[in-house]
Amino acid sequence: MAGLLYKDFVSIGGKKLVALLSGLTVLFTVLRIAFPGTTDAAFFLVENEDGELINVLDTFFILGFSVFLIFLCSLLNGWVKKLVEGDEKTKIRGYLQALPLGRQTYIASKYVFLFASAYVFLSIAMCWNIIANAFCRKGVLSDALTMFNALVPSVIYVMLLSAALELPLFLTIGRARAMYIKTAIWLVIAFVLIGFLFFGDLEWISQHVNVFAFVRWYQNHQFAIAFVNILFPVITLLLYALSYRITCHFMARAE
Amino acid sequence: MNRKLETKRLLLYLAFSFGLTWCIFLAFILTGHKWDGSNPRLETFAALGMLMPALSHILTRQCTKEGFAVTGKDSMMLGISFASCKWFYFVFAMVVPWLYFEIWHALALLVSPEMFDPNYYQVIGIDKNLIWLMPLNGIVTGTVISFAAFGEEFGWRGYMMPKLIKLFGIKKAVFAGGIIWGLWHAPLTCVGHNFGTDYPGFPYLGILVMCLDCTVTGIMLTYLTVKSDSIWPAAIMHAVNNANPSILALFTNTDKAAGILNHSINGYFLYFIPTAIIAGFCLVQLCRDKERM
Repeated sequence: MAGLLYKDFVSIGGKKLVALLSGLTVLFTVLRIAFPGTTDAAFFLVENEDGELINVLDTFFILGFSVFLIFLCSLLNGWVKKLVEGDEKTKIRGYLQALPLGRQTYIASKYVFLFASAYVFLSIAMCWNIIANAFCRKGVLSDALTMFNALVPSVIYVMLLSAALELPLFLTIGRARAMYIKTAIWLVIAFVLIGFLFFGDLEWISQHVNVFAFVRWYQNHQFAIAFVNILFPVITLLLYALSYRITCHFMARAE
Repeated sequence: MNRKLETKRLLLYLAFSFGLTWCIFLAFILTGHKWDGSNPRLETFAALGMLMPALSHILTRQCTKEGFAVTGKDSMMLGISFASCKWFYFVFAMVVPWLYFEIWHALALLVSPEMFDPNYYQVIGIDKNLIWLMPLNGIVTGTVISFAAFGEEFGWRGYMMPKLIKLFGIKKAVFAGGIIWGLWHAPLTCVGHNFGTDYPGFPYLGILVMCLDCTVTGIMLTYLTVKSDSIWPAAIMHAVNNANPSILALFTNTDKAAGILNHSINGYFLYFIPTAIIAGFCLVQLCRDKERM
């Protein structure tokens, strides 16, 4: 199993990625300490709609954190394809067939690799949140970062659920056909969104969907948030395990 | 075993671990901050120093060329196995902290009943509907967001303890490990971490109690690591322990403490009653296994 995990680590360019993530984290920390939002320099302070003073530097760092989170999610999302793609090359397939490993171990290695990646990404994202929040001016933006702190695990678990849906497809029917199905699903979602942009109530969205409304909603729904935070990881893990069983079942039938 | 070489490796690890972490802790202290809850976000940032033992473990292996084996002898013990009933240690890691926290608070309320405050959960901003979910919240959140605890356990249980056990045997190792781990916390103990600053014998008594706490907790964590051949149960237990999963804590107002519990540090001596019993059991099990080997 450890060997298979290392193979997957190499196939996604693991060493370069570790260097990149470590470098970005150090850079983010240095910049955040060098440009704290707690300074009272009038040049950086602006007043929001509620009359509260906001440090512009904080918004940059929140933006940086959000972009980084999207980057991590896109990495995780792309890895299912990349992991299977590598194994579909004739040389690797021949090598894998020569190993004294069962089918279940091979499938499990993919699931374990993605789960471990999700844990690492969640940890890095939480670190970035802590770093951004430590030097943030107290107010609505620090509240937003605290809210992110509670929501980041859910975002990562959504990615894990997505992997739980994709892995059976990619492993049982192959990368090419799975990509057709995945593209078709994304196209349907895109068409629904475009349809909403044409015919939906956009005014309601502009009025109700913004960071301040979100913070207010978060503060008023503490019970729901806590409940989701408790249940979501448990449900995700159960579905992830179920996905593994389903993949094993279908691969056994395919053979 | 080459004792001299193992000792050198251990000392190198300790130099990295203390050096890197104390740089962060001292930066926090020398910029005029105290661990008094006045700036919880900066305190959380300083707590990222918990990741330094993990970094030290990697740096030491890199310097000593010991390799980065994930599982097996002299490995980093990162593997997970549920075979041979090893799942029990994961359950132990999740449930036992909840048990000893409830017993600790029950003992505190027995000794000082005036601390019982039926509305205290409102003071600390907990929703009434969430009270019964708090242990589960601590267990799940602690397990999911266990990276900080993993940072410590990857260093202390993943590198230091195996070396200490090799050099001194299990009994001496757990006590030496506890003292080292307790002293590692010393800079923060001196600015109020865990016990505050208002107690007789500050900060020396605080450092002493921290060493005792780390010894007792360290025995349980070492037990989990040795029995499961993995640092993950220890990381989970450490994280759940830090999440303070207790229902009774929501009804225990320590500000109302009187008598012998009027200093927060005194309450910690009650904490040692349940934990020392569990740690004693773990130590006996560890010694028995060692004899069998």
